[in-house]
Amino acid sequence: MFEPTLTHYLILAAITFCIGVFGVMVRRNAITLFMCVELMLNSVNLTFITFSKYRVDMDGHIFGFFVMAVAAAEAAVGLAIILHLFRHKRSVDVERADALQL
Amino acid sequence: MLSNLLITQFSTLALLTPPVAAEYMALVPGAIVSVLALIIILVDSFHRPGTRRDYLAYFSAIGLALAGFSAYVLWDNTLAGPVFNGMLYLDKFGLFFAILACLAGGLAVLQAPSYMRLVRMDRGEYYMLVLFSVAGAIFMANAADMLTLFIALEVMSIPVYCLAGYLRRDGRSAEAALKYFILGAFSAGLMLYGISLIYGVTGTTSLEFIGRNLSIIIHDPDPAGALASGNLITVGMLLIFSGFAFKIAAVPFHIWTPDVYTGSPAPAVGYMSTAVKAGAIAAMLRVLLIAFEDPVLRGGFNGFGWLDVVFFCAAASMVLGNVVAIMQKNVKRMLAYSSIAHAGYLLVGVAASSASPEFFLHHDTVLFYLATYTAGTVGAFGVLSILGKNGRPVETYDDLAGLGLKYPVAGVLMGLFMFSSAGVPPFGGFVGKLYIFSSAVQVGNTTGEFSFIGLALVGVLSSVAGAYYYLKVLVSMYMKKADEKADTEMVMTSSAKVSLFASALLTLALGIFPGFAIEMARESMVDFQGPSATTQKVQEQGRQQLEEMRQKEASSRVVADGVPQG
Repeated sequence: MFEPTLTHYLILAAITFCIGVFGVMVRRNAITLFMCVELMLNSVNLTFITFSKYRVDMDGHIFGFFVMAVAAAEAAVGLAIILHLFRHKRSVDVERADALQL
Repeated sequence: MLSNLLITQFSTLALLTPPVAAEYMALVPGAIVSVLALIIILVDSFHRPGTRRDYLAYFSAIGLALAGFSAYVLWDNTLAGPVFNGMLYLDKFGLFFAILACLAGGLAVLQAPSYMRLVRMDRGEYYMLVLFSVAGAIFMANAADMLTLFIALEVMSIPVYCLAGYLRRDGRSAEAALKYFILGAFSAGLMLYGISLIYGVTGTTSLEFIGRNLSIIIHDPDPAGALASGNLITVGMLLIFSGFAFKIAAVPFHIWTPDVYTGSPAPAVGYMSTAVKAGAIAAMLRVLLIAFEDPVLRGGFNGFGWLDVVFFCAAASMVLGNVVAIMQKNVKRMLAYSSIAHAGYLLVGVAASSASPEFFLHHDTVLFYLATYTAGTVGAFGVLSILGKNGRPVETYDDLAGLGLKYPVAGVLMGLFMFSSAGVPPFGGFVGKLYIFSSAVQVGNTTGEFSFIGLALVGVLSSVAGAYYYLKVLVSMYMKKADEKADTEMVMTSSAKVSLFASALLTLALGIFPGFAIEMARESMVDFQGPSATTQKVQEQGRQQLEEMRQKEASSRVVADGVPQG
């Protein structure tokens, strides 16, 4: 029977984090970008919880809760901003958000 | 097993002891600002439509002045060590930044009524957002734990994302908000991952315990163990630093700056380029000087560490910021690149004073420079937010053509702020730059390390290049012919007058009588809580020097009073 250890969880978190970073760099849709950022935050949470369990220490769990709360606040503001952009451009493609490049 | 569990439970219980009354003082400045923000929301929702909201600007500014004053009252009532079970500090360092954030916020809210008249967007949210962000900046400077630091960072940043998108009818504002938001959230994610790795290595999120545990781990006699955690520490440290570098707009994390500054409303840019930078610098100093204090992590003379990274960022920011700013046609964009250059100057101060613990007190150069930078920059954006052309706020050099002669007050004030930012005596910016670069040269001389003198040289040369684009603003204001057909206007409300004259007065005062502010900055570094025993000795020496200086001053005053008149 396969028993996942600390290393497995950490590697999973690292891979998820890298997928998030890669997504922010290559994707063009604002909503997808935002989801990639959320993916990064979730992998951070996984890292925190893993270390917390490994060290039998509650700090990591608490940090995880706060990250979730802040991510929710960020989602509220972020979706409003994306909506705001959509009203002006009729698109959420970040390639088309180029009015400021002089 | 059971005894182990019991001990854990007891230590948890010990952590839950309620804080003593004196500890609540640490919350006072931030709490005043937060409560004020909530009151503003309430007042604004009962606002009668069709009337102006100028009173909200005065209301917020008076509240911010009150918060700043409370920080000043607390100045001599600081506490040793962290409060609230290791979550916050109540020291002069935090209070200095609280005063700075209140100042930047207060000046920025007072400029708003003019700008809102120019863009026809009189909304109450502006004041509330600035106030919440100021509260975040205050708590960020006081944070003693990665948890409070992260929450305060987000409380400071999220309102600023909204401020960037404040102009609802302007597509460019929406674009600025999107860029700031995505990159800001991205950098917060990077920083969080760094925090989680450091937590994994040390098993704690408190800055002081991280510092202690890290030096135990690094000096582990078993090389295999030290190496395994060494990689995690390096990656974590770099990720945390990148989060801060993004907030202070240092190269290579500066990409967002020009676009966001161009698209956002001018008074909000004045706020976000000063208070946000100040809050991030404060938190960065806390993390670097408490958590990553160990000489091995510091690097510099002991190999590669964060000092080298700061050094590189400082040099790159100064050169890139100043060179690219020369090529800009848009004044707001130019000021964005110049703010990148100013981040470079600040990092010169950080790098030089972190070279070795004996230079710890030199960090006061950074604090003083932030004060001069705040006065000059908020003022410059204030002038941009009262001038309009063809029904919209001025932005490019062409928009400003001839306005200096047409509106002498705006012209003179802009000249003052530009001279200060360029570093011309006798204005504040000059003293700030002089103080930072002379500290770097002194560090280079004392340690015999030429690279710090080289860094100061790069700084001086690039700030000379910077004088070109600052003076170009004045050239177009005074020597270019005004466009006859254009419909220019200056909306000088009474609150904008207060804000502009206050920043002008401050710029002059910091240039002519810098002693007061320098002493405050020095005291804040002496009172900085949390560093290791080596640094505490340096702080103790600094405290004695300050006392001696005071006594000398007091005795000379007595002598002067004793001299018979006539």
